[in-house]
Amino acid sequence: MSKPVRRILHIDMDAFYASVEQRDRPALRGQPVVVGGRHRGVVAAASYEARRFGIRSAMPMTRALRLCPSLEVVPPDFSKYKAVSAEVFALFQEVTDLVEPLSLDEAYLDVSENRWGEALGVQVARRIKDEIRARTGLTASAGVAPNKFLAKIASGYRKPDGLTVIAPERMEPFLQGLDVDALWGVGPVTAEKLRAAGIRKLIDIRHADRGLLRNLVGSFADTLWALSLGIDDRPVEPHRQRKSVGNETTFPEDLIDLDRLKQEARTMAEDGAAWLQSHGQAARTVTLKVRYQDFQTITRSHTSAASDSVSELAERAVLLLLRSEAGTRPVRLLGISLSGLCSREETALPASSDAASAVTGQAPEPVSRTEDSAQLVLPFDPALLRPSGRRASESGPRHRAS
Amino acid sequence: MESRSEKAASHAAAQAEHARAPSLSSSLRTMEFRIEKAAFLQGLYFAQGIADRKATMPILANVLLRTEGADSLTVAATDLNLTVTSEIPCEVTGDGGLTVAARHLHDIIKSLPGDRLTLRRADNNYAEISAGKVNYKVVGLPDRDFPKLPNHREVTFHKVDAAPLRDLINKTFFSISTDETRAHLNGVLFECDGAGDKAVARMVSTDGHRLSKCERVLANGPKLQPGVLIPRRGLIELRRALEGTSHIEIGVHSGNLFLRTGPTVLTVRLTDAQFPPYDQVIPRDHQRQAKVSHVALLDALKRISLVASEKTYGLRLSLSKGVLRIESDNPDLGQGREELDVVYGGSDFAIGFNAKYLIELLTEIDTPEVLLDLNGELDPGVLRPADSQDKPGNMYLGVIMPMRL
Repeated sequence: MSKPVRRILHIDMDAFYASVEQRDRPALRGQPVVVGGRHRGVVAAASYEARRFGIRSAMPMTRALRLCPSLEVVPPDFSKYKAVSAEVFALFQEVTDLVEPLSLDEAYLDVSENRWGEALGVQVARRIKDEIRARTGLTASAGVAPNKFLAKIASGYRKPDGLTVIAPERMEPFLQGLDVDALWGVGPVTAEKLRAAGIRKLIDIRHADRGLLRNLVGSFADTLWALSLGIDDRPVEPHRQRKSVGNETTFPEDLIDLDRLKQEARTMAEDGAAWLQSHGQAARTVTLKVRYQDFQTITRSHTSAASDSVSELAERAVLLLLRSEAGTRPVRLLGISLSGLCSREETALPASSDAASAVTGQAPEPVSRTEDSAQLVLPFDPALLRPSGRRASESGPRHRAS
Repeated sequence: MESRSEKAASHAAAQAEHARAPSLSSSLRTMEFRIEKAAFLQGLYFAQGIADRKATMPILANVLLRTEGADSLTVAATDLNLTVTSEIPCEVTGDGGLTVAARHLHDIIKSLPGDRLTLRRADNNYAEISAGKVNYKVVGLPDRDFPKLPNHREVTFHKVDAAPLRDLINKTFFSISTDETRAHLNGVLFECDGAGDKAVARMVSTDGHRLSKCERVLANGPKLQPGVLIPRRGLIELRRALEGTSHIEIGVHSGNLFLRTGPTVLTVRLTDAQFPPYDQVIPRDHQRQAKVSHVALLDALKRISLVASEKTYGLRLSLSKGVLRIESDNPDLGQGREELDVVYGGSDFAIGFNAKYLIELLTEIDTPEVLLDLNGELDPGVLRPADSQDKPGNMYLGVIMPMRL
């Protein structure tokens, strides 16, 4: 390790959406508040008062309301959160260009060199926290460490308004104390697998059999082993490529109608494809997520030649849907994500087109894209063929008799 | 969890109903009737086709039984968009109503021995059914929770031939859009000039890629100008109602289409949306026209589409003097080609079409020869029966958008 020690910050806004709402509506201060859809939604953010009731983000709203019937449920206002987020990120940019956003309210900063000329990471973190409070009235928690994974763990160590530093010389005792599921990427399932193999502490991985580890977690084994030693060389990447684009919806009522579900899947895939097109990207993998009425959740995915074709990706999404039990079991949630992103130019390469398609039985090559759009549309006024909403001519005659 | 609490709630409601029942039944006799099995079964057959077992409201899976006067029983089911009611003669010995799971009741009545049966509402909304030595006690729900039935007593019915209606539906049904986000295209536009015994009715449907328009004489048809939009599901039931009958009575009232055959009235809630102005996409004239044998064209399309892309069904149609060549070139499968003798005297011309669109339309045409009217290779084509002179009451055409070659 001849490389100089880095100073990495992980900044995480405290209960971001909920705090913004509490800031803007004094009546909500000190109250258990969650942001999210009241009807069948999930908790997008929970204030610390709400967390005392055991409410966590991503929890179904019905459960949150059971835990705390007096809960204030605020519908999300993402444009507002985005505006606040932009203020915070503008501040980060004043410190360094090496800012890697993880979401609206979370980022890594590499402040080994910074425009404030601070020598100590902890000083940068303290000033950032103060500035955030001064500019937005909100609190953030910060973690300072020699690498990203420890910085992230550190920021979650004391929340809210926390500041935790893991100096290089204190890394080892810190690692000794960590449970294996403290790691990002180790969820309940992986943690359970590891525990079953006698791995409870992160440091247990150091002495675990590598072959066994690989059997348990596949290619993640090498990463885990490195992390157990406190090694994480991943740089802070300001322009990290987005890895997937997707969308999911919990329906107001469980859906059984297959045609309706097909349409939902198609629309989500089309939205994703539109994003791809506007960013000059294409996707190799389409993944469907279905949550049935009884909360059983399945995913189905299909990888093929990269495509940004709206119709092709939509078609693949629908085919995946047909491989689920949609139409026979009521569906609560449906999601479509597109991953394996690459730039559109790469799609012209015949690289993976031979790996095509368990789903369609035919290669969705670029040619099918031109074929698809080859079907012309009747020359109606385009507005008349659009999905129906309230039409402008409602007050007029229902239609013109010929 | 939620469904369990729903069940508990409906159970509680049933209990409450039960608690109130004695005071009602002391002043009124409870519902009881004797009925002919065959007639009852007929009404239940229609009802169980409409009753919606997957509905969020459990009562929609039930059939409503309600006595009318001393000698009639209303049997009704609804999914809120479609409603079927039948008036069946019976011997009423106690007034009242009840609802019972439609499918279940149909199967039970079907299995009973003998020609007649008695049905009685017992305490706690049970339906007691007896025929000979067979007795059933079937769980029911109170009839007052059943949605209000559309009132067909105020409707002016017009008695029309079933055949032209059937024809109109068949000739337009296949080009209805299946895209459920476009409610205004999820059905057919039904228009009628209401000109007495010479009345002409018209149905039009489109999915955005093709359009079908058909006109037939519908003597004594109602005046529907502007027309009404009959949703797809309603057309399926309407088609079923038209099976095996020579006449049907139709009427439109307060946003519903009513269809009466004998003792049964089918009500279809019409789509409240605007159908696009279809005339603007039907070409008025053509630069080229080919006259082709109907059977030869249909067979050739079916043959050559076997090697067409399963996704787009794209075929190439090339016209030259006296010859129509249909070909498919699919890199995944191979090529196919067939040449047909046609009446065509124009210049050489090629155009792409989705074979499925042509085949579905041709299947509904019933003349020995068809006309294909074309303009440019990116302009809509028109396929129609060769004897159709576009005269009112005998008009059928399909407009199909080509595919880029």
